[in-house]
Amino acid sequence: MRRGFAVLAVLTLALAGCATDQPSAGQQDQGQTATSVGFAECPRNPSTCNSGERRRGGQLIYALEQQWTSWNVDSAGGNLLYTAQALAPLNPGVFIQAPDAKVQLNTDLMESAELVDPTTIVYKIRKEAVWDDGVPIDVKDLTYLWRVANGRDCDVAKCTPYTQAGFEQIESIDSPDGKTVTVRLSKPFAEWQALWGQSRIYPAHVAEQAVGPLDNEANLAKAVEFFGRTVPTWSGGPYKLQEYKRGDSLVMVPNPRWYGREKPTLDRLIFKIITDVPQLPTALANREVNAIYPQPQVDMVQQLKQDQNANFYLGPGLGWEHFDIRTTHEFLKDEALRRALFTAVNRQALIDKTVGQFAPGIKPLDNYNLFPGVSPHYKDVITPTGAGRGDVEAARRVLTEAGYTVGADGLVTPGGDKVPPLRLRYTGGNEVRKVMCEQFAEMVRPLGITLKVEPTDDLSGTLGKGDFDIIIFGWTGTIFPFVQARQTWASTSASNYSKYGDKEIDALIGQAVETADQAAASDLLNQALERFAAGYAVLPIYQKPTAIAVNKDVVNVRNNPTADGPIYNAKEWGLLAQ
Amino acid sequence: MLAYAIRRVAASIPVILAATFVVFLLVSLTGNPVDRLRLLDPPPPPEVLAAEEHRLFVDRPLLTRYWLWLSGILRGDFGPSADQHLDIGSEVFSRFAVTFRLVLLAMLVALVLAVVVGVVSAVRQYTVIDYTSTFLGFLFLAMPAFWLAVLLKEGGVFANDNLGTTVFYTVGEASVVVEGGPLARFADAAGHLILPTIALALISFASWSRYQRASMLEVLNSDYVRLARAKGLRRRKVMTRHALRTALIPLVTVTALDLANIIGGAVVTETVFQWRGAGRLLLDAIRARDVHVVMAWLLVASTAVVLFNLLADLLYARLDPRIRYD
Repeated sequence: MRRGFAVLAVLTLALAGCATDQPSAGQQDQGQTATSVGFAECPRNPSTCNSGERRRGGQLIYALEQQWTSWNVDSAGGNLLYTAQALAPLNPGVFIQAPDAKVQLNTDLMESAELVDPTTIVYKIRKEAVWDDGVPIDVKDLTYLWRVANGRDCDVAKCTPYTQAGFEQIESIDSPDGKTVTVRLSKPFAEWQALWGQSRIYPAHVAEQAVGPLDNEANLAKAVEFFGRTVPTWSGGPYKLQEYKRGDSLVMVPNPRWYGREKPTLDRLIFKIITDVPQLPTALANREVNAIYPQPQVDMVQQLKQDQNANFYLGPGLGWEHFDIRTTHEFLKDEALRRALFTAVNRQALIDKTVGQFAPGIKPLDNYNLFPGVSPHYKDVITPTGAGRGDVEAARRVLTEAGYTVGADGLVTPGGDKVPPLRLRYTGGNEVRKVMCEQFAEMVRPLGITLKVEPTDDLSGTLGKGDFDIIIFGWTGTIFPFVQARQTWASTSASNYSKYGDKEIDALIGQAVETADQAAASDLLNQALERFAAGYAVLPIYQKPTAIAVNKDVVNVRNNPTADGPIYNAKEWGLLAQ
Repeated sequence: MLAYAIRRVAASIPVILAATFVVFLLVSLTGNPVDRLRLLDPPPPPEVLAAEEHRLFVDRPLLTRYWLWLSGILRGDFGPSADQHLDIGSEVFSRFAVTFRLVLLAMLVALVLAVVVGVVSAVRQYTVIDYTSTFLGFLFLAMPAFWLAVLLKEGGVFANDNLGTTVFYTVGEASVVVEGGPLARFADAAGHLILPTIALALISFASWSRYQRASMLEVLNSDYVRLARAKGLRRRKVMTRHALRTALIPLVTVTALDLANIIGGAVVTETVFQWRGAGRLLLDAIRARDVHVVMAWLLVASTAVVLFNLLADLLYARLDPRIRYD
């Protein structure tokens, strides 16, 4: 081994001798001359922590964990977190999802965006807002997205929008001057800020030049396809794309036509795609990347905590883990059995055995769509059901009262049938989920219930086919909860893998989606979720933490658990002034 | 010789075809590539999912799908990818170009090291050099490729920290932006190449050096070597002109057979060092159930293995005058 290191040392010196006097951009100095304030303030001030005065120049390399298949983030095939992050500096949105999980008007692009009555929204786009070719960002760009997503101007199978929510309710879009845009809805929409906010704005004029006028279905479908396959030559944001190496990297330089008040100071903003997450801490330590935002894992967290040259922060995320019971199962269709299972499981103990090892503050999650610290309308809908507390005695009483008995071979139904071993499935390779499942199985063993823990290599296939009795998996979560609730919990939704639901829940969620007032909509949603929780079909476990780490001379990069991610303020990113 | 080569290539076509059929079935049965869209949050409309299944042939029977793929190959069409905008043909070839650069360099390094260490070990049998090389050989043989790669990366970061500049890189084939002239670009490329090459080379070196040592010992103890020495030929000349040439033949066989293993090792090495080569392409395709990409990968890899083995056969004739192909 010593010989190996000796060889390494010789090669090191030889290569050092080859290097030019002036280090290349890729060969950044190892030493850092300045240290930022770091993330200490993030729990109290999530939107301003790690701020600092920037020096002019330099480059910042931000790691992305996945390559993408399409540049059209508004299409079904392109709607990935990583695509959205890469496009954030190029394709603006009307609103920004900030680190404090609040929706903020994008004041670079907009003068205002107001719901003037429950079915009318008035947008005022700044007159300075232009694409990098000088063409104004205006009503044409908003209309393009509406037409591909409303399901009337273009068949959804052809235009493949990732969501129609809200767009299908828009009756008309009018503008006297292109910059003041009046949108009329057929019925109120609680998440009107998601329109052109969660979706990204694309330059309609660029598509028109490529495929022809966007006034017919064929050209709209071609435009969708065009934006999917075309590496962005446009920018309506602070940076523009200079170079793209497929699946490897994007190099962005400041957009000379950027109309925002805050100007970029970096010479280059680089996105480096590193798909093997465990390699990220080493790349950060070697300054091959300067900022990473990985899914936290135990080993990685330990490694990042030990990196003396990096600031690291583990913050609250919007993704959440849960157990789903397939309520169409021969035995699990009985609510008493489901209730006993969820009553016996101790969520805090599951957390302490797993993610609590590296994120000690994590508590069980008690809502499905509204998160503590994110929504002012968060309500605990789980505690009243008694689920998740690890109360084995209460679980036993539930079963006894329902007529179950425990025989020598395990639990026996009121009808005299033995409850067979139930298959509890998790994603193969996910140690946290595996341990949680094993612990869950131990917790319900005293009830006479046997859970057979089985991995799956094909989570989506397993869910789609209902090839499980109980399963653990996660949803990503969003600060726009109403449409998501409809898509996840409606009794007829393909994404409701528990298959539990009823018409009352559907009606309550439907009303919530169509209620303009947020407080009233949230109240309706909470009513629906209380009813849903009482079905003991889905048990939230915990909110997944997010991890961010940056080199110590990197400023204004901070955790943002929303769909916008840390890149929401790319224009402010920089290297600390000396 | 040419007729022999043509016969060998022709004989391998049914084998490759059978392999493609088995792999097609295995990959297709592991899951539906459209399922990844179903887990999006929110999931796309059902019409979109149906259209995607039709585009990828998933809505057709398995044998029809295989025939569609095979007939496409005959027309030079590798089929649709789950990545709607991926040209499978150009992507697979460009990725293999990256991988072969790494694999060939690693093989070259491993071969040179293996021959030198193997020969020296044999000539100096039961000396400190022999024991040391034996120890190192078994050490690298026992070491999992990914672990060795991770150790090398840590060593690289440690060296960089102490040098105060980045000499060794741990991700990618090159820096995204390299300022400076050709020398800077060369240093950057070398800095990226060195650790993955060592990682991949050391594993092969370990086994090859053992083969070379055994082969050399056998030859050194053979009658014709003793005769050559008895005739008065100098030791160095006997070693290089007579013993080594014969002792290389088993190594040529092993090297050719090991190509598939080395490509397998490259999958691990490329993942750890985040090279955008064929290994990562295969892993990404398997994860995405992108069967047409996996099939294209298999075609190129299996063809390379066939050709490499053919090359080894032809080399035998060069090394051993007794071998003739009609």
